[in-house]
Amino acid sequence: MPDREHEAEGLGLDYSTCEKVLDLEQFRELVEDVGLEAVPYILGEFLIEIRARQEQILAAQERSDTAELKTIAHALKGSSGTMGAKYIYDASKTLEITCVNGTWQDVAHAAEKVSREIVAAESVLEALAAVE
Amino acid sequence: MSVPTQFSQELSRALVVDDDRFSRSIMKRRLNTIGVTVLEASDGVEALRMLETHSIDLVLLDLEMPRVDGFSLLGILRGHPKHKHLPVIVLTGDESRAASERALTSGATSFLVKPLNWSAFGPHIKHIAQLVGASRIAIENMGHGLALYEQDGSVSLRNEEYSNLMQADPKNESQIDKAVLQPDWISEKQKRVKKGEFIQEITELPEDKAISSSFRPLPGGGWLEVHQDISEQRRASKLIDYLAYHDPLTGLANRSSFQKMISYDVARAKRGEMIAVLYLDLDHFKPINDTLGHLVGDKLLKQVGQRLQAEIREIDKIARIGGDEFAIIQVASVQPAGASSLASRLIDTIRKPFEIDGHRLSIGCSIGIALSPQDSDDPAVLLRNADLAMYRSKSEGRSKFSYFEPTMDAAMQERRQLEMDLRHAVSQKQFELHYQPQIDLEHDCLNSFEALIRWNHPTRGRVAPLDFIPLAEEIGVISEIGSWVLEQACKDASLWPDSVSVAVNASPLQFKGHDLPAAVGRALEASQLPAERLQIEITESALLQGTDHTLSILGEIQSLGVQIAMDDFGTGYSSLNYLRQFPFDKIKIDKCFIDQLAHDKDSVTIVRAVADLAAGLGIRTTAEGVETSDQREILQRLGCNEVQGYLISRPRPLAEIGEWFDNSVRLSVVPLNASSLPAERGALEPVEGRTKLKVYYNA
Repeated sequence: MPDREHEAEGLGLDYSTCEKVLDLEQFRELVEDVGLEAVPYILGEFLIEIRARQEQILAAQERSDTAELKTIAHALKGSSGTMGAKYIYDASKTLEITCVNGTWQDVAHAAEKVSREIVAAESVLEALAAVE
Repeated sequence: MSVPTQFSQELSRALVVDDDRFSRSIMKRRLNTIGVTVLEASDGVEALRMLETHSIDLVLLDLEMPRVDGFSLLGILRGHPKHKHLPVIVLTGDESRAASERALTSGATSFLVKPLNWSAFGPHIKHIAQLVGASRIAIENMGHGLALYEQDGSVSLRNEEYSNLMQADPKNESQIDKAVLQPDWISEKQKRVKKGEFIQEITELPEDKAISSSFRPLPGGGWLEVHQDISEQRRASKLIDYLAYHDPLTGLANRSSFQKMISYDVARAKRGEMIAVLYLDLDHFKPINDTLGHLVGDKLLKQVGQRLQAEIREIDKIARIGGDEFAIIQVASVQPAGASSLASRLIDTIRKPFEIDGHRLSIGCSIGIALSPQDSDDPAVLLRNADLAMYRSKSEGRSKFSYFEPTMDAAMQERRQLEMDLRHAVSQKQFELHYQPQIDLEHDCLNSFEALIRWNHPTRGRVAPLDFIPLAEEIGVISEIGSWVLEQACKDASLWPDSVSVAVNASPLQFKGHDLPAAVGRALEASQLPAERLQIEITESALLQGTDHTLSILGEIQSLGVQIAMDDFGTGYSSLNYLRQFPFDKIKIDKCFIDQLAHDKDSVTIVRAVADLAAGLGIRTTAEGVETSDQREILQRLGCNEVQGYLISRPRPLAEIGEWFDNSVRLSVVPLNASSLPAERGALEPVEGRTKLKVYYNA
């Protein structure tokens, strides 16, 4: 996808790294709107957000608290959508829906999926935040 | 009480309500880039606290939040007097139609789904900001005082003008003269509107001020108040009313209101009372206006109005109904004596000289009087009848008054018909030229013909010039007729022998503009008549009106080679003076001097003097109205050059003058009493290449 590579280059980022975490088009719109200089700040804020949510997810899982998980999933869906973190967004959306319709086992699986996506994103986002 | 923030300031502070810290953070960052300060709340409770303690212009609201969610917060805001009009943009991950419908019906200003389309987010916020600004500008500048009240009487919105109308600031100079509503009055109205009554009232205040107010109950409780200071409109409206019924120059009533006054007085006239309508037209006003200018003319009219007003009683009414026309209504039980007495006083007061800008001005007035109910009880008819009577006064010498008589109306109808016929005649060319010869006395030969116009009316028959030329001058068709005469006379004369000229009379009015020389030029060019065979005859009355201008026009015509003759010489008081001012080619001695020539030594002396004077100045003389052989012989003896009159021939149509050019044909010379004479009275003989007339006349 040469266009996407081009977009990533325009943002000073490595395409192959970005695409593991972000919907590049969504991320580009955000950057254009808030300014390129804000990228490290945004990435840092997002990292804080997802780490906090991950802790909340683990705590809720321990309590088997479906309602809390749904609330966390909803909030995470919003922030990851805003960021363009497409894999976290998809996993959060699934978790939110599962909390309403699924069994606890389904919920636990969905929550673990969200945690895995967060862990996968962290290292990439940290790398991106370090790009000057 | 303050004006709500959202309408009094630009969009400067937003509250982001979202349990997602990251979304709040991004939103804050984004709004900061467009200069908006952002406050954050993670749920509805925190948001309400922020709204109570801060001025907020815009709320960005998530729907799903712990404790008080977005829908609940929206409901609270829309029910809150202070926040019910606060713009709220809902931002949510719930993309269902139900969510958007619920949010919008709950009072959301707009609805955006997360993840946000960031390209659209910025313009969206700007659009909302513009709406907020536009609302603020509209409400603050609407010129009305506007306030929204809640059911409990608290104010949810009001603009500065509303505050001004409730209480003017005495320290603010622009508000010193402002109209202000009284608190008691407002309270009373608010009590009524609270009960659901719609109120619309105008409050009249001292010094011609007024405020228009409306109190409209609103469906959800509360009410809308709109107040407007209409003092200026009132003043403008009064001025318009005044101008509609008054003459702005004199301050007197105008024609429109005068007719209403007549109706009023006619309707209220008591038994035995008669109403006199006096119509006044100033005499000799126009020359003053023309020579001294409109400013002097206007001042004169104002003084006339004042003098007239001073002569009437308080119950009488006066109006200026035209340029120099005034009218008065007099209600009296003794009529026409009352009207006659008043008319005499008015004539006397206007006759006294006026002093204006260093000028001592003398004018007069002619008055016509119509009485009601005797002459009519219709205001328009009364005024017209008085006008007709005024014309009688004018025609009988001015500075007098006349009463309306029914025959005047008939005469006016007749005149109007004649006027219409004359206009039709001009367009249809119903005119004909007759020619009267002018004979050289020394050589007994034909010199020229004077062209005299005749109107062949389809039903009235032939109308004499004296019966239609003054009317043509009055209704402004004389120039058109004059041009036709010039063209036709030149065309006819171009077919005559080279030695015979044609004389054409010019109306004084033709000298008012600058068109006459051009008209003469056109006629000569079209006919190919040599200019020296055309004579233009001008009367002294034409010279009297704007002498310099007239002489200049005459000079232009003479420069074309055209001969200029002064007609009716001796009838004016400054005839001799004009001879000094302009090199006339000919003077025509008026018939009044010729009539008594055979019996009156004075007439002989005058004609001899004129002939001698003219000869001395190198000007030819023509005696007009020669009817007897005695007159002809005396004129020849006195040195007069030409004669013209019934002794030689009456004016004849073109078709009948051909015989004058045929020296083999004997001529008919028609004397004064033509019927008593033989038909054939003379003959033509050729003399030195010119046509010579031999006249045989009765012994």
